[in-house]
Amino acid sequence: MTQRGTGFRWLAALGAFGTVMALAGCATVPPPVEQHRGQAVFERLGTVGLRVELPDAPGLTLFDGERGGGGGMGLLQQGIVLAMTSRLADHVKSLSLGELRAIEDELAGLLERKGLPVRRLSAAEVTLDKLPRHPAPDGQVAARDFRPLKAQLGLQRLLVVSLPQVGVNYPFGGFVPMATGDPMAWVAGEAYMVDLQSNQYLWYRKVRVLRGAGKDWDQPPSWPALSTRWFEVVEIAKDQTLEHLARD
Amino acid sequence: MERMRTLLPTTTRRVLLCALALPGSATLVPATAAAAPPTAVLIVDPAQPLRIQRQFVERTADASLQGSAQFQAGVNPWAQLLVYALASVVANKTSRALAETAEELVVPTEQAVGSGVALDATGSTRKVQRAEDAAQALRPYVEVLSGTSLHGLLAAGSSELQRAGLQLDDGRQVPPRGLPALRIAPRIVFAADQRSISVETAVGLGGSADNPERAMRVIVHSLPETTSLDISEHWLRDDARALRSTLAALVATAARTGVLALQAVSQATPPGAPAGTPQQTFRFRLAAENLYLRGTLVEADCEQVVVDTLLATRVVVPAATLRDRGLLPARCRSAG
Repeated sequence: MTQRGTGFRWLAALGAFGTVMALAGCATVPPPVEQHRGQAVFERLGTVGLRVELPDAPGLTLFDGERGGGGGMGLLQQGIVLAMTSRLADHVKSLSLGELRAIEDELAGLLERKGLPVRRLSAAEVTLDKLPRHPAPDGQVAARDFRPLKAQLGLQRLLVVSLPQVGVNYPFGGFVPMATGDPMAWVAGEAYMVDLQSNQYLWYRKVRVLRGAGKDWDQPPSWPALSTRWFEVVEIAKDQTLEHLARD
Repeated sequence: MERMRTLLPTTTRRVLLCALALPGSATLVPATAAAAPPTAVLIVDPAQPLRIQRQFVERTADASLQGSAQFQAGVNPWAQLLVYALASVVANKTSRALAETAEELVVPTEQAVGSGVALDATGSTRKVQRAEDAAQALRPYVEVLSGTSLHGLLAAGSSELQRAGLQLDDGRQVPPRGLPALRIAPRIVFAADQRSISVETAVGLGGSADNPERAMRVIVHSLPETTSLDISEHWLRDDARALRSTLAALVATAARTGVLALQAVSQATPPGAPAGTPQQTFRFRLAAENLYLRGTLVEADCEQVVVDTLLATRVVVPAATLRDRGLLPARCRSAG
């Protein structure tokens, strides 16, 4: 009986330990909540800062975990995949980013039509990675601490578009590297407006648009089907972002 | 008539007028009055069926994740590799079999209308619309067009084909000497919301059906119908009068577009925009759906926009649906 009781105590201790570990695992930064605070977004409180961060060129993403990529791979496997896909990677880099960069003009135009003056900010003025982390982000408050920018830039609000993952998503995974999905043109990142006083989101929109090119996607050297999809996802991402922001 | 005017471009409307003049319209309109001498013979086998399909609507891959292979501790890695390889082979085989099954569902019935399904053409992504749902949505159209062949559909608009320099022929007799043969294989695609229809077709000029001298692919989109609350009722009313006329007009426009482009090639003039013309993305709004085309602008007027896409397809879209109005001539920009 005693032994049985001891056994249960061990089991209970193990369960408690597991629960604590699980909770600790969950205690990461909560993801931002998609939101739009209506008229507050377009309240006329002075100039709105606008910062758009894009990579220099589209790229080939090979290990997207959300599509089953990257699992069970070491450096050797990743090297093999990089070598196998180098021609496609070169082509993806050659695709134009001009249409996506135009989102800056389109966002500025949207805000100005709403009666809000816009100040476009350069990388020297705002670089997201260099901003300190906010001590208590909770999904409503931005993970980066934008508050110092209020005095620094003399602005009340900052509109940010950060799209670090643009190009083609072609996931590989496994000890024996295999594609876990067909390549898809994609644009991924986030767009949001932050109140520089409170660091709270006034508007937040996750951007993740993928479009496949069909079973006949592999048409080197120009991959026309995949290239067509690239230009399509650019327009879809822009449309979705602008339409979501524009609603009152 | 006003309704028709709002629905279709002028060039398409002209075809439609003939089609709406009820069966036998080709004989009611004096074909010789405005007909140009035929420059090509459009050969359509009377047994050639209509092929109808509903547009595939793609979903992002997020919902179609495949797990990656990972080794588990304590299990022989060679055994795991063997199981993984076997599973991959079986999965690929099953996937291919499913794809073939789906494609085979687009099968025409005898001299009638083929049923269609929404196909998943994206490889790893799953089907958005189950085949049965797509077939269900198309069933009323398939039933009402039952017994109508492509030849029968075009016969009503044959005078318009003649005006465009095309002579409809069933291919049973040898075409007039010196006239190249034009062949089409159209597929009718309903938009997911069924408010607009497009015709996709290969157009072959000269040679034989299997081996044309020149060929290209053409897609023509209709102006979306936005005023009807019940879109299927709009298409099916009066024995599918609107549907038949729209289809005939679209197919005729596709044939005319194809033959003009292919004849330009034969005259050593490259079709479409001059070489070096910058590519751009063209955005159209077809009712609630967006259409994006990447390529070069061939022509833009108040009626239609013609684009040569990266996929070597010439696409004709009503100008009223173009979102970037600045691409149109100044006199057309207010419309749409």
